[in-house]
Amino acid sequence: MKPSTEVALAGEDGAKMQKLLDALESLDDVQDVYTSAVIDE
Amino acid sequence: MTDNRTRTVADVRHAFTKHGGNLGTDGSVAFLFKHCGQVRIRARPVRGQGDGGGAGGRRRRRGRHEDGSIEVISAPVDFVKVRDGLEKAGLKPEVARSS
Repeated sequence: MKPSTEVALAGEDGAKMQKLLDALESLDDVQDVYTSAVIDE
Repeated sequence: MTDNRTRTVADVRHAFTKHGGNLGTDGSVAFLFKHCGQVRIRARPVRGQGDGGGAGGRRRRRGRHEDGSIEVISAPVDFVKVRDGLEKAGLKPEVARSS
């Protein structure tokens, strides 16, 4: 699954999004996580 | 891993609310994504181990990942052709999936 538009996130927003993605990926029953977020570090 | 959909949804919803989000209804953001075939090739030796699969779309710039690997995106129907073609060319995919 490829996002048709991407959303750039930096700073606090990026960190928040990264946390959410990590939380989702850490779930046993989650097989794949797709996002339109592009996190700039 | 279980096949308990209800429990999985509860876990996912909890993760979203805990991090300031909300779980939408089934397929509510599907229009934002396109199904595609995805083949990732390592373009140069990587010293450390990356985060493996990771979330599609993260830290990607024009098909090239931070670790120097290259991602080939195709229409779902062409996925097998692309993967086999790359393999035949001696490129061993790290990730090959159609989603």
